Formats: sequence, C-alpha cells, structure tokens
Amino acid sequence: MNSRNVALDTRNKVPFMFVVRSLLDFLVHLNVSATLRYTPQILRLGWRLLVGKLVVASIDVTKACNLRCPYCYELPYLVTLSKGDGYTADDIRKLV
Amino acid sequence: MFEEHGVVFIIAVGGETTLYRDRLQAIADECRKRWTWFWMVSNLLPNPADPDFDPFSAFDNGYVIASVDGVEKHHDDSRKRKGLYDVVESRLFAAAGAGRTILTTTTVHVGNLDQIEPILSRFKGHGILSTLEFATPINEAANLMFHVVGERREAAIDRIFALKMKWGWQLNVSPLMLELMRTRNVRRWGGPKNCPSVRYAISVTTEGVRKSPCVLAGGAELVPSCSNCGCHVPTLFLGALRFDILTLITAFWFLRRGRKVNTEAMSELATV
Repeated sequence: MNSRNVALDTRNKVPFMFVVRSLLDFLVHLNVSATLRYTPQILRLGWRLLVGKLVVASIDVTKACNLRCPYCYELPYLVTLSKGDGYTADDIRKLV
Repeated sequence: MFEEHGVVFIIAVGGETTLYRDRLQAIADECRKRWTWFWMVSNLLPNPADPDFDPFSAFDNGYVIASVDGVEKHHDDSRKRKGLYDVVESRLFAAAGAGRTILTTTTVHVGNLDQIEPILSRFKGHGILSTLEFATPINEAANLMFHVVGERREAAIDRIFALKMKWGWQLNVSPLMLELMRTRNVRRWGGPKNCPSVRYAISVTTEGVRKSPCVLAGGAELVPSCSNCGCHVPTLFLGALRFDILTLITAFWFLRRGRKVNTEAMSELATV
C-alpha cells in the first residue's frame, strides 16, 4: 500500500488567506545565503522523495545523558558522561 | 555508510548530543564537504566539562532543536531538575539575540498538553519557532495516564489547530501534519511496513546498528506502538509528498533568518 495516497479523515479547513500569509511570511524572512548554499541538496532531497529513496539519517551520537527524565524510554540504556559509551568521533565519520 | 545510501541530511540524537563536541564536529565536517546541513536535538543543559560550548554558534551548517516540555516549573518537574528551565530559556534567548534560527520541540503527553500556548507565548518576539509531536508508546499499549491517544488526541489536535490559526508560523507544524497525527489517520498510513519513515529515513544506534522500523526503536528492546504513533517525522514526509505548501515551509524552518533582538529590552518590556 502506498501511504502517500491514503485518504484522510480531516476535520479542519485551512483558510486560503492563512496559506498566503504563511508563505509570504516565510519568503520575507528567508535566509537567502543559506537557501542558495543548500539549494542543490534541497533539489536532490525533493527528487529522492519523489522516487522513494532515502533522504535523512538519524544517528545516536551518544548513550550518555546529563538528565534522567522519568518518561524517557531509553532510560534503562543511558550512561553517565564519566562512564562514556566507547564511541568516537572517528566512528561517526565512518558512519556519516 | 550514509553517503553510500544517498542520505541528504543528518539528525543527531542521543542521549544528549552536545556532551561530545568532537562528535558533532565530525558530523559538521562531513556535512560541509557535501554542502549540506544537520540538525541536533538537545536539552541545552551545559556539559560541566565543556561549559563554553555553544551549539548554536559552533557550526555554520548545524541547527539546534531544543527540547522544551513546558515553561518554568512545568519543564523542571517534567525533567526532574530544579532550575533547568531558567538555564534553557537564557541560552535560547541569548542565541535568539545573536540572530540564530532556533526550533524548540515539545513531546506532548497528558501532563503538558496545556503547555503549548505558554511556550509559544514565552518565545513570542524572540524569533524562536516551536514544534510538537505526541509521545509514542514504546514496548507497551498506550498508557492512558500518560499518552494522548484516541479521542483525547482528536480533541487535542482540534485545540492545537486553533493555536496554529492564532500563532501562525511560530507554531512550526502544518495543519496537514496535525490531521495526519490523528489516531484514526495514523492507522491508515502508519505501521512498520507502510510508514514513510521506513522508506525515507535510516536510524542507527551508537553501535552502528540500524534501528527498525524507525528512530523510536532500539534493537529488539524498544518497539514503538505504530498504531498510536505521535511522531511528526513521517507526517513531514507525507505532507511534502502531497506538495502541501505549509508542510514544506515547516520542513525548511532552518532557512528562516533569525531575528536579532535586544533580549534585555524585551525582558524590561515584559516586566513593565
């Protein structure tokens, strides 16, 4: 099944002027230099999305955390900074 | 490995990503070689061993997504650390004052459902955008004391939609993304086979092992409940694939200019 074409059950309508206003606001506040710098990759991203290919990678850079939030689902696996996780910047370079 | 897979950009998650400056530097260097960018998710609590590290300004191609559960006491209580919110807010305002583009993210659960508007209100005028997603049950059925699912999520999304109409760009989640996050819609597009995250994203653990099906998983130990998923990442993909202009604007939040503001003057105004 292609999740892209799934019919949705929607309740709320977006006013046309809200879309126009949002777009104008985005354009007015656009960081032109960053946009120009990333344009080739943004175009590549769009193309890869359309043809169904991978676009983004998330990487767990560490298991260490300086908080212990009670709801964190990774809580049993977290380590302290002093203990570390044996991972290095070179490992990251190889992955990336 | 990511380059071989044709990955366009990277999201650094943790643990706490900013504890290791050298690891983020490695990502920044590799991304710079490819003229691309990366995001890093952080709780903004400084590392005592490296207190001067400012993730907002350290990388010209790196953008911080700061986790915020609520304002003041709500954030501190949620994260069990007194005074944490003050630290986070001061770092956010300092970075905003320096013209950095910043996004905060709130994982919504029963305990902070009422905190979305206070967060937007607090960051108003500082040029700080805020996004949100719903907590996804991991390794269990939804805990109704914690997770916002089913009819409760329907009602929550209707309220958030109204906030979107009121706050506009500052709430960096599109109306279509909100609709996609409704539980009944999640069950139409979601699941470990259909979810767009499986097709468009790769996630790896610190051991370099690929997570399946998505970033919320962790080997065989952590299994997300896809039918109650609240993650906004797949909704970004689906919105973009439908050429929804508001979702595209949402996805490219980091292309907005930061707004250099005089934070001291803002604070004085707030106290008048």
